[in-house]
Amino acid sequence: MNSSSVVEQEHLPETTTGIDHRKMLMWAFLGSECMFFGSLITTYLVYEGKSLVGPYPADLFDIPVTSVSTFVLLMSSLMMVLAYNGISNGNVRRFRAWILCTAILGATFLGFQVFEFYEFAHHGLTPRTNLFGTSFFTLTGFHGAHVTVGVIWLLSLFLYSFRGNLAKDHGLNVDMAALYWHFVDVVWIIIFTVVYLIGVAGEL
Amino acid sequence: MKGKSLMLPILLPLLSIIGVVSWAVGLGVVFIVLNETSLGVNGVIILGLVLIIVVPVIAWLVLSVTDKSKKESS
Repeated sequence: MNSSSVVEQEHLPETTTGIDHRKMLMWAFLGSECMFFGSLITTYLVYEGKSLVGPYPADLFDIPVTSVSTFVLLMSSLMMVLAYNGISNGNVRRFRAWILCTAILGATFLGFQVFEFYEFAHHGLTPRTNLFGTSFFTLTGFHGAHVTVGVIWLLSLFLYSFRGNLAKDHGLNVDMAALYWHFVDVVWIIIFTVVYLIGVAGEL
Repeated sequence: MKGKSLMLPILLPLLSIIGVVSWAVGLGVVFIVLNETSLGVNGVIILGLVLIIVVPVIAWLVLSVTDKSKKESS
């Protein structure tokens, strides 16, 4: 055994899977989240086109605006990768700059959601209006809540970087936040495709 | 000392919540106001695109300036 593999082995967590228990728990949590969002998306699809009164998706959805908000979230994922790269290389300044960008873009996505919900309510769509309203607000509302939790997590890591040592355990705390953030991003891509794009295309 | 370490897990998320809510709601209100102007929904799209470009560019500029000054001082 050469010296580098000895050093590598020293850094490996002593678990049966070879993966740190906290990271394993994060993957298990994300698995449960897949089922959660899977059930919400399925519920939306089951009730799609079954609303007895309007407004309907094609009356409300503004694809260019939602495309920009989707792009904002995609860009935030890129910033997250840069932040993780920074902490992996032990460069805390780089980490701080990019994680703050991730949080700002995440909060910008939420700003788009505030605008969208306001516009929909203004045009008479609330969770009580019809089946579309109920399933739409439940799905996108829960996703928005997940993004909110993610941004709070990212900002907490940013603030914590001034006090603690985030680079320990190969930046595991940042790694877990990144996993969660990418998951939230992927879920939005599915929601955007299934709810918005197919929703509008189906009614044309 | 113990009180100080207990404060941190409460204080940091609390500050983060205030930050998120103020940015998201503030930007949402700006979008609503922009939508009411003659620009309409195009104003919302333009502001969104500007933020996508400006935020990373500022971060990159700050990093390059601080990297440069750090190199000069060393």
